[in-house]
Amino acid sequence: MWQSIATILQKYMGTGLIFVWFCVGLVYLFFQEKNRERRIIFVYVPVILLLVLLNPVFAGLFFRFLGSEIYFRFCWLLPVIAVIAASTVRFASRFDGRKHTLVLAAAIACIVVSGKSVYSNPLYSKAENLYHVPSTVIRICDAIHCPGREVRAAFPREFLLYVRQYDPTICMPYGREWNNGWINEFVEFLLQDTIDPEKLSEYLNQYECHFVILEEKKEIPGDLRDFDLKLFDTIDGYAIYQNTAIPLDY
Amino acid sequence: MLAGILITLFAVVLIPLLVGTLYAGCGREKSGGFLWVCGQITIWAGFLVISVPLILLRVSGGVTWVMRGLGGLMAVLSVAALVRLSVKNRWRALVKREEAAGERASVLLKLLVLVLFLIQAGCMIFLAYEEGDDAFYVAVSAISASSDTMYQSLPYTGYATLLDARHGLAPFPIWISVLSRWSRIPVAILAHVVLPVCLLGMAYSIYLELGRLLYGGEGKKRLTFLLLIEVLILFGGQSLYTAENFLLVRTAQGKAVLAAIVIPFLLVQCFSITKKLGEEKRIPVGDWLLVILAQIAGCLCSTQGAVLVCLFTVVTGCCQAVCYRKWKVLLPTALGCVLPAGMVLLYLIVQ
Repeated sequence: MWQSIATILQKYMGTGLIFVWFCVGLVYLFFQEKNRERRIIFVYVPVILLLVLLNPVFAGLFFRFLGSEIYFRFCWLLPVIAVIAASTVRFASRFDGRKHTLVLAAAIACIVVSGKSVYSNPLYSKAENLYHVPSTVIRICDAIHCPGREVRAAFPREFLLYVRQYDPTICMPYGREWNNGWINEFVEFLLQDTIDPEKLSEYLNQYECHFVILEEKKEIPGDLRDFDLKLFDTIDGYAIYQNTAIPLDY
Repeated sequence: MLAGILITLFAVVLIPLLVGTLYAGCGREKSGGFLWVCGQITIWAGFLVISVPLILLRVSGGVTWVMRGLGGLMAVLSVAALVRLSVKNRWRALVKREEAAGERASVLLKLLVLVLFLIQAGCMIFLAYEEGDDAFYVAVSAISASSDTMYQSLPYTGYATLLDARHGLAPFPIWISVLSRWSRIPVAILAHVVLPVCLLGMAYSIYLELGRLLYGGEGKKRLTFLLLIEVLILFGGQSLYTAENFLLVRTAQGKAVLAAIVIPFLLVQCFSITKKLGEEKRIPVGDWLLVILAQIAGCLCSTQGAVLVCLFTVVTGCCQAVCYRKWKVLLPTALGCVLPAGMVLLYLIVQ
């Protein structure tokens, strides 16, 4: 149990330096803060919450009913940034004029070095539009959208996150769960460089898909019409094939 | 689009601010920004009470019913606030200025605080984040807005499903779908651009209020505190799981609202109550009511939120009771835990 709690706490802390500053702030306020209400909220309550969080009996009960994946959220109860900021302001107030500014600048430098800019995450990119959805997804969804009814389409994995955020009337045979290690033979099949049209048609009928979107460079040997498939459109390097075996009335 | 943005601002800023004035004059004067958050917390609490029974009963046209219920609630609260403002002439509460008691903040400090806020708000508009959970939560909102059903189809694929208790009992995405239907702004734009900026403003209003509680009229200390908070939030990316990271990255997801708005709000309210206990002042009903409503709003954001908010208020309540030997505070503390405990029980039953 200790091991699980330690792992969760480690996951939450990242490099751990900000959490160290939080602990330093708690100790500093414990010795320096004489105001009782501030001591209650910024020292006693966080310490008790920390003890509860590290308590194996509490953690064991939580793991049993809700699982261990979301246990880290208990760390949100710790007023980490409020304690760091309040203790820094208190410490800096001991100095006047230039020294005060220097202490604050040093504290900010410590935070910058100890933490990490949220925007340095490689998953950030310049938004292509107000939807924050790749424009290619928007163009493909607009092309296959059928007013008044739902359509089902198999998308490449890079688009799975976005399709139903943009247009919920476009359904999919599989979704984002595939990114989490979930195995689906249809998805695995679509990853191949050369797509067997007969097998593709079988899958599309099995999952009742009206469309399949594939990279244009993927090869599909043979005559598509023999398998009730037709090239519907090509958009930004992606080919949209329609499965004519499942009727779609526009 | 402009009309939609105005409607959203009306529903997320103006009406909550108006509703928040119901708490103006409850003991300590609150700033306009904090009154806005108080109003929104009240509306979220009402939203949970309206939407959860409809979700559990799988009522057809559920979103429409929720819209009517929420609209009615907001209208009633707004009228009550307007009447109170007019009768008691409390319009000034909205633009309350703290009297200077210490060194005033320099223009440079004010500018720094403003620039850091604008940078974060700008990044929310102009940067896109590949957030996996949006495929679930934003899709839930989008499905609800377009199909008028709640939690009846799988967000990833669209296949029909039974009730997913874990998510259905914390229907924050439905609030987004209601806003989308009112404003006619597509859910994706609302969840990725419009709401994050509003919610960021709410988060900082809470920390500004905490600064007011800590330093009163000492403008320089107050803004220094806020500046440090801004830097800590901006550099809170040391792990993907910090509340700061959730605030900037997953802003319109319920759990981010829980971590960055509801819990800090509880901290401020509990601090305010603790201060009054220390000063031997009477604690207005409105202050306790806000704690209880914040606990209910916590349930709206996340199923685990019910446990988190209860734990926080129980620990704080016990500390207050022991430190001041005022055991009476345990009563409202326990009262506030009733609905969250009920939600946990409901979750265990329907799961």
